[in-house]
Amino acid sequence: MINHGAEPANLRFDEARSLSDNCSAFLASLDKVDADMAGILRDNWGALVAVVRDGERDSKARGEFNSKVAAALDLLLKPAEPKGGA
Amino acid sequence: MMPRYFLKRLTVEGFRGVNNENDPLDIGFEPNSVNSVFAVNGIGKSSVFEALCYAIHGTIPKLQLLQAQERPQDYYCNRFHSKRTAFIVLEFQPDDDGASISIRVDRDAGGNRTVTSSSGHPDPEAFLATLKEAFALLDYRTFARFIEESPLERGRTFSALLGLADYSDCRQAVQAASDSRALNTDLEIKVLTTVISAAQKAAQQALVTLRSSYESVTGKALEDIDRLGECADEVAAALGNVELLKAHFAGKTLSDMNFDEIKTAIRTVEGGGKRRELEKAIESIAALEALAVHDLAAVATEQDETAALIDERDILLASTRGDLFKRLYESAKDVISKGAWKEDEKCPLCGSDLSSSISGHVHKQLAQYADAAAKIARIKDTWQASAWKKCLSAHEAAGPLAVEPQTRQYSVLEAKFTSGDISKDDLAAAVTWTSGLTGKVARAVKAARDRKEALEKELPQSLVQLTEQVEYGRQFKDALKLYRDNQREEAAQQARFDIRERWKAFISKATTVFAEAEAALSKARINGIDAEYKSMFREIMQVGDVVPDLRRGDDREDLHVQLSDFHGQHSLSARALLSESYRNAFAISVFLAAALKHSGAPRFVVLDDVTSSFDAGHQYFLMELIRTKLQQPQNSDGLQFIILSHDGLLEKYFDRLGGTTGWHHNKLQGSPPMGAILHQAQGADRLRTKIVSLLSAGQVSQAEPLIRQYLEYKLQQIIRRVDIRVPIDFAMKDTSRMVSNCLDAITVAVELHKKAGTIVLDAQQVRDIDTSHVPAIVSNWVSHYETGSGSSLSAPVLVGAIRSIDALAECFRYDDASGASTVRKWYSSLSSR
Repeated sequence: MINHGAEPANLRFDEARSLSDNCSAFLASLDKVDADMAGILRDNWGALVAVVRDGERDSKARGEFNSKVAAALDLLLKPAEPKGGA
Repeated sequence: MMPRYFLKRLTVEGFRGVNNENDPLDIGFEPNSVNSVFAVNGIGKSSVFEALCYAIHGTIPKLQLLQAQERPQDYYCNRFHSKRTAFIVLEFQPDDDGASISIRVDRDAGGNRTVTSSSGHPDPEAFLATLKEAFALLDYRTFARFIEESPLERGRTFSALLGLADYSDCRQAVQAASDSRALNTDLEIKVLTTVISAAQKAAQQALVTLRSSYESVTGKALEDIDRLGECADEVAAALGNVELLKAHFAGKTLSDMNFDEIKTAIRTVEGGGKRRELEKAIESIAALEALAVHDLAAVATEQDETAALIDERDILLASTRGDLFKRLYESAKDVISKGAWKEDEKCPLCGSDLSSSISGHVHKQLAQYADAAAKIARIKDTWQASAWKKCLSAHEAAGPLAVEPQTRQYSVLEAKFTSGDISKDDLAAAVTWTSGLTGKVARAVKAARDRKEALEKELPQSLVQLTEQVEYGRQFKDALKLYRDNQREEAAQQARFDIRERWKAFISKATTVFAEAEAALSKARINGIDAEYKSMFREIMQVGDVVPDLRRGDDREDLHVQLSDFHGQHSLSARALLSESYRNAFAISVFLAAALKHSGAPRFVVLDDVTSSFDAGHQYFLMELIRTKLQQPQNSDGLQFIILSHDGLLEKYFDRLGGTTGWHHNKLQGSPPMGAILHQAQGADRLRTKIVSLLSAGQVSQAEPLIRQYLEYKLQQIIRRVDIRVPIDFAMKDTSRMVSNCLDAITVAVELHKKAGTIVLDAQQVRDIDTSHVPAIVSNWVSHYETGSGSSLSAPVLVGAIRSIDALAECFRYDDASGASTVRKWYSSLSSR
């Protein structure tokens, strides 16, 4: 669930680090907000980044990203598969 | 640490104004020097800048602005190049002493671009992509736009300049993913709401049947729906106590019961069609009573609301002009938004003057279409979520009402609501149809009950009741299953709905977190260049009491340009107060300060005509700033600067510094777009060889522009080498008469030194100048080609002119035997060696 009490209010991008590193830090910080949702965002970050390239928004890419999110959300609702073995 | 790259060499053929067929324009740049490239108007300086743009960005901004029907693709390659193909070769030198990288960009006659690397770079296109930094190629328009554009556009430009364009893209992507409207659509929130509502309704309907059938079997009211399992046991127990049924119920729960078998057993005991008819009557009553769950008052309200929405939609549609005009307005919007039509007070179709803004008109028209579309969507949504829809569907499907399939209206209405084609008449007919069906229910219930009573009287009482009890038992069993199935469905869909809402809250929070972190980073970068750009502005404009200031919006990407100090007043609008030159200096200072902080792949900045708004003094201050503080290696973190200019005064500055440590000057000459462009450092020998070759082949007309170029080059070389003073308007005079201008300056200077007795040339050299070489050049060139009256001369005469200019140049040189070997040198002036 959303944890408004532990929001990463002080997240700051580090000038000395690359965009990729700072995005990783951003995604890690979101674990405090909602670890499950942060996991989904992390898994689909590549699809999200494709939504805007050179300032141009791609609504098809946004639809694809949201579709992946919807599938991941449904997967999260499924009870965990029993572990293998007799 | 990845290396950064200096621009070492540019070679161009067949691109824009550079024809240079089989003789490419070749300009070398020095990484450790400020590089200046000067050309008078029309000599191809802009083509050099455009070649760099095309090579690195794949486009030319000027051509991108052309409309499609102007066929911008036809203007990349030089129109006089016989093959209509172009190539651009760029050589880059890394700043870590690694091997140079050579990238060649070809454009064929079909407009196809290919990128290769003769130095063997594995991915030359990707390498060029790393050079697409906002500071690498700058022209006057970039700076003018920076001040003039909206705070949001400026903010985006600035993000790119600060190396934050990727952060901006990421933030916009996260924002796009948190857009509520898109999320509701993409995550099917509305569909889920409808499915949940349907499951709730179906469960309620089942509950009605559960209550009535439970009461009929047990004689008690069903009060606690949390103990439905126990109720089911009670129903099974009540039926299992009947002697005739004991065998069927023994050891079984209600859910295991096969009621068809039980009914068959009862029929076997007493048989007859009336038994079956009684069962049917009871089934009908239950089915009809279940229809009571539909709230007819709510249905009527929805029908009124839908009628009002259809009225509003019709009014909105009446104010639009049909699909054909919609397409016209959408095309017009494209034309305007992409900048293809800039005269807002004129019609883009016929060019006639308008009394109002065309963009405003198009916006208003499209807004009307959008309003109508929104109303149509609302009508559809209202239907989809309506109790009416479920009510109609249930009534048409209810067996006891016996609605013939071919008369059913539900699917017809569904199609009309979905397509948005539902009319007021359609609605009225549907309302009447629905009322008719709901009105039939009461009559049908009464008829079924009457029939049931009649049958009960006709059949033996004990079996009548037993049959009824069994039927109620079946109803309870079926309703219980339906109730539980729908409860499970509601719970499952509610869970999907809730987790989607959880995602919406999360991604919204994530957007805030990213935006705040990006804003903080942007502010830090702005603060990081704060002192630098203010200092640069002060040095260029030589003022201390006008201080520019950049301010980023707290919650948006907006970037505001202000004056923190304006002659003692504070926090004022820079756009309102600054003159063009000050604005330009502000933008240049910001861009160069940001460029110095940048760590991207390009370590060069190309400035194309960026001083157009400056007077000579401010041009000088800017050039000195670049030369002394920004150029590497003087500034160890500095950049390589390449300055393109057509400004005659600036050329004097370039000429004075050209060839000195830290300054490398190129001057372009030639006759584009048909002839070749060459620069002085490219070698007069190459030009001379080409001329002689053309004249030998009798190609006089092709050789003529090159001869003029060669003569101008040699004469200006004499002037520069022996420091001949020229009149102040020398560079501004008619450039088509440059040969005679130069000859005049040289002969007057020689005459002056002769009369003063200070001439250092030997007597024979002076005689040759006066009596042989100058007269030969005048008669073999100037008299024919600068008066406009002469026809072409023959090839041998023109070869003579070339020999004369070479001989004339030799008159200003001497053999220096002071060293170990004799060296041919230029006199340092007309009065000294």
